[in-house]
Amino acid sequence: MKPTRLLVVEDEFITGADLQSGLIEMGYDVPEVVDSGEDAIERAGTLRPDAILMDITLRGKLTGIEAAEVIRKNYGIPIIFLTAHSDDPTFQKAIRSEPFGFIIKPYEPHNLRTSIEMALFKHSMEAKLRESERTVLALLNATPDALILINREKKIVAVNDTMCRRLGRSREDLEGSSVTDKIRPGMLYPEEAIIDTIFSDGHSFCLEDEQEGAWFETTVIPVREPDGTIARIAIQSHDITWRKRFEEQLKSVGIEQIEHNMEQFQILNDQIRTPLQAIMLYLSLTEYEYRPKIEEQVRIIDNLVEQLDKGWLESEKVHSFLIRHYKQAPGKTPEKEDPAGRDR
Amino acid sequence: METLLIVDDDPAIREVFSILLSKHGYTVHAAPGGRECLDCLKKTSPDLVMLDIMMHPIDGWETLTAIRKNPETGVLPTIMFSGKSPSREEVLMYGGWIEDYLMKPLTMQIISRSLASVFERSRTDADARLLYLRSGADPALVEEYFNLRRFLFIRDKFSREFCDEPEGSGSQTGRRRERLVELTRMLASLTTGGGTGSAGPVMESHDMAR
Repeated sequence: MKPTRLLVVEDEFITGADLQSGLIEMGYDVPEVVDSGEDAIERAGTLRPDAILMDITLRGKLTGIEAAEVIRKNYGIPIIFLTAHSDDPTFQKAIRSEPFGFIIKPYEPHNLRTSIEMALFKHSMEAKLRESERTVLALLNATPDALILINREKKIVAVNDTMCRRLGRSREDLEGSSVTDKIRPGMLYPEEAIIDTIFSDGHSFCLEDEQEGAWFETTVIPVREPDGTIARIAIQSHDITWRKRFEEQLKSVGIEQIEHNMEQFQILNDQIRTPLQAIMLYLSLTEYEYRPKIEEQVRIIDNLVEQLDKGWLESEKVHSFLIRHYKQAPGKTPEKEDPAGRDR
Repeated sequence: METLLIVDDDPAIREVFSILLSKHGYTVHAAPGGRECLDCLKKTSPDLVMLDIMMHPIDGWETLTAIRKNPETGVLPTIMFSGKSPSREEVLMYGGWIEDYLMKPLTMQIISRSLASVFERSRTDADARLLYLRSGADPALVEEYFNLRRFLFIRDKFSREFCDEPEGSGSQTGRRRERLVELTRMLASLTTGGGTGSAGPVMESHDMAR
């Protein structure tokens, strides 16, 4: 196995040389000791060490903390700070930059090794965590649905790219903020009462909503903790505008077709019955011997028309049902006033 | 005997109705459309109009509306006849304005029975109207009363269209029935001078029409 490679950044030559030889003795590969932040950044890029031991106070323009920041951002190499005093104000600042470890001078070989191994372990765990975060995020962003995760304080824990796009806001802007500050309840985020109910009863919930011509199907799912409590809620919004438009179109086409059929029925019935009427009455003017037979045939035709008339009635019921449920204004509204009722 | 005005766009219907109804003793005028019907009413005053519905450019319902809007012909008895049954909308909208609705093809027997009962009813209605107005009833309420009675007559004749309508005041029909009862009581109390609960002569004529 390749030995762990370390870069030492130390501006006191003797301390640096001591540290290098001590580390080599422990079995680490320590090819170089540099004495400035600038050199540290440059060598981090070329040597690609597994970890860097960095003195907080350095020669040159950059402090150890500043150089560590650049290296972390550019190369993701874990940094272990070296310092002489734990009460140094610079040391306090270094703590806030979340380093992988500290080594207080003078070094003790055993502590030195423990600190380095702890930092390397912590770094590998964080790398794994970042990798799994990237996987989850890749999954979340692979869906065209908008996703959001909120906690009990109604703060946004996480959002996916689709949600950011729909809201026209960045992930940084959204995550950590109060959800109602960023999303108007109603479409992508349900009413507060629904959220509160889900936190208390743990049932998921689904709703459809329309705003400015866009339709969303929003599913609200409680996310349970290992102990069974609900600490977070996931909200998924699926764009169903296309489907809704298609349905609307289908409905209006259906209504138009029925209206057309009804008109045809009415015209046809009237057109057949009018000559039947004429035949019946003309016949009643004669004493023709086959008159009863002709009248019988007229009745047969009339019965057939009666069947059509029933069909028309049925389709009118279907039509008024459709109008009541799917359409505000019927195609043909009788505009004349109602003579018999005061109650319309 | 009474004078009738037959309105139908079909020349055969106009001819055969004219021949047969004349034979029955009626004086018959005929008009081929809504416009001609309204023109005819300016010149002659028939006792009853028989109106076909599906006509162009002015259909039977529009013609009927024009007849009712004109004070001269506001209460002129009118029978609609058509090859199609009336829709629920049509019954609700125009039922109160018509004496009867007949479905083609009609036998002479049906026609003369309808005519006889309509004339009988309109005579008793005319008497009742006069009585109510003399008793000081509001003319608008008197007309509303007759409209409601006519509506319910047509509504019950074509109850098939209303089979899914709920009972009672939850429906158009229920509300109108309630209103008719209210008006009947009111008019009866006017004519008898003290609300005996009797509906008066008009209720009997209504029953007879059915």
